[in-house]
Amino acid sequence: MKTLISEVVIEFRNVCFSYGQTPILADINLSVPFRDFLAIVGPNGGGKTTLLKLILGFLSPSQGSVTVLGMSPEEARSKIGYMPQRPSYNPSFPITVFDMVLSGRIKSGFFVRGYDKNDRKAAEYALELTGLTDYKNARMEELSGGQVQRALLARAVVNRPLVLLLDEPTANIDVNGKMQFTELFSHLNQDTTLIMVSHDLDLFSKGIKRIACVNHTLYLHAAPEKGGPSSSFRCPAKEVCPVELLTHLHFNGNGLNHV
Amino acid sequence: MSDITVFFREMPDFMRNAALAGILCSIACGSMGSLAVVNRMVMFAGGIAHAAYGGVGLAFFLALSPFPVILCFSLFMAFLMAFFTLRKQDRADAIIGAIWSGGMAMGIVLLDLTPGYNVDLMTYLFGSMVAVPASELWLMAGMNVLILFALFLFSNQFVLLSYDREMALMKGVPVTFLHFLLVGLMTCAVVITMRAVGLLLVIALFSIPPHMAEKYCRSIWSMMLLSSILSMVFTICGIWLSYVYNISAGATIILLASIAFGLENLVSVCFKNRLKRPEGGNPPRPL
Repeated sequence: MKTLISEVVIEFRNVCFSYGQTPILADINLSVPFRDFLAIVGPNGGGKTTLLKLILGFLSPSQGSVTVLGMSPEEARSKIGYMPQRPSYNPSFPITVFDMVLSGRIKSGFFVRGYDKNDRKAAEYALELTGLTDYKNARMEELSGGQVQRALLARAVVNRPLVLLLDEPTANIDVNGKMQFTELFSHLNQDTTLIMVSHDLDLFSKGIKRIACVNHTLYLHAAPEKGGPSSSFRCPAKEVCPVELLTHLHFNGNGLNHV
Repeated sequence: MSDITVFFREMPDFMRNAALAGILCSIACGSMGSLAVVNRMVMFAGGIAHAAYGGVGLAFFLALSPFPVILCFSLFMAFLMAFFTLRKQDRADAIIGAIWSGGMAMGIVLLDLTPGYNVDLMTYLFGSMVAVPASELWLMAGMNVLILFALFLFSNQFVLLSYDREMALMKGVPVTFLHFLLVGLMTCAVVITMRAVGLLLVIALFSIPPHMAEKYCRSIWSMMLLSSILSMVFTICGIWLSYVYNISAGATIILLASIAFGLENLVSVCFKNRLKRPEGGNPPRPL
């Protein structure tokens, strides 16, 4: 399947979006290559989540076009893994972690076959990847906040998606957990394109290849040359750019470590 | 005073029918009630049960056979409620309240306008388990088969629909169709069960056994099974007690279920801490 994928996985061409009369995004142009790890930052209300919804096809652009894997967003939806910011699941529902992750393998349509051996193996693998194998048969209700995030990530990756969309994936996780997640993302990035909306500036130290500042418009920070962090980040965004903030305030030899 | 084993050996026919009715109702209410509880649709079920009385009034007013009219009227009302609750979740209970009371009022007025004998409202509320004819049992059995078959056919989708509707939408599960199918099955379960056991017992069996079972089960299917078994226990014991003490069967069953519910809550509060697992786990292990 990989050989059939064109280099560009997601393409935004002159995209504008408004909620009724309120403009949210203006003139967005973005090209996401395969195996990219793109972080999306920006102020609240600036359109970060709208961008994700456009990729998923839950919203249609007022102008311009969005292409995902060479198809329309709705057609490509089954090949995208999505970890939403606010989980919409029913917390006291009787379901095990395994079955919850397995539900990520459900096929679309009216009459679908049951889960087969491959589905179960994929769920086992996803649980192992996120370190939840011991909790396989626990009820979802019994998990802590961090474990729930890991389970949601397992569900997002269980279908081996080509693109993984993460909306604030480390919101409820402690520092230790965040580091583990960061390693996990790097591992997943080996054969998956990752797009992550995050307020978490700690995460910028590892694995991230590009950063997009979204505040109604989009400004892309490409990966800096090795050894020279601050000069590459001249962000013309009108609001205070968190990337500039990071490089100027934190540059004491650590700065941004891009691989 | 009879021993319970003697009771079963020497049970009169009408009692046997009542017990069978109880068992069949328990399966329908255990399964559909579980789905109602996890989808927060118990009020919805209550709304259908009360609005169905409008169908009773309509049937007598138009001098038509009651059961088809009641079922069609109830399905119509249920689909109306389903349509309004599909999008506007936060005003769902107001809409349900309107249809609940409006439907019942319609039934009462139509019956007032109908000359001749009237259906006793008490029978409607409490049913008449001891007067269940064999034909009714066959109808209930058929409905149970329909419900179980539909649940089997769409099992994985019903789980995702109930657990995480947004993810279901994203995965291409036909959410609108399943929502209406769920409502339709629930209506059938309510209307057909109500004829034997009465409105109040249907609501009790829809809410109490599933709620008791929920926290002990690891899947919705085991929750349905446990709910059905609990329902059967309450029903059979209730029928026995009503026979022995000459009290209303339906009300006795509800009382038993309520007492058990209260006791179970007490017990689970005492042992609450044992249900939570300790914090921790393994770090993620990329291969």
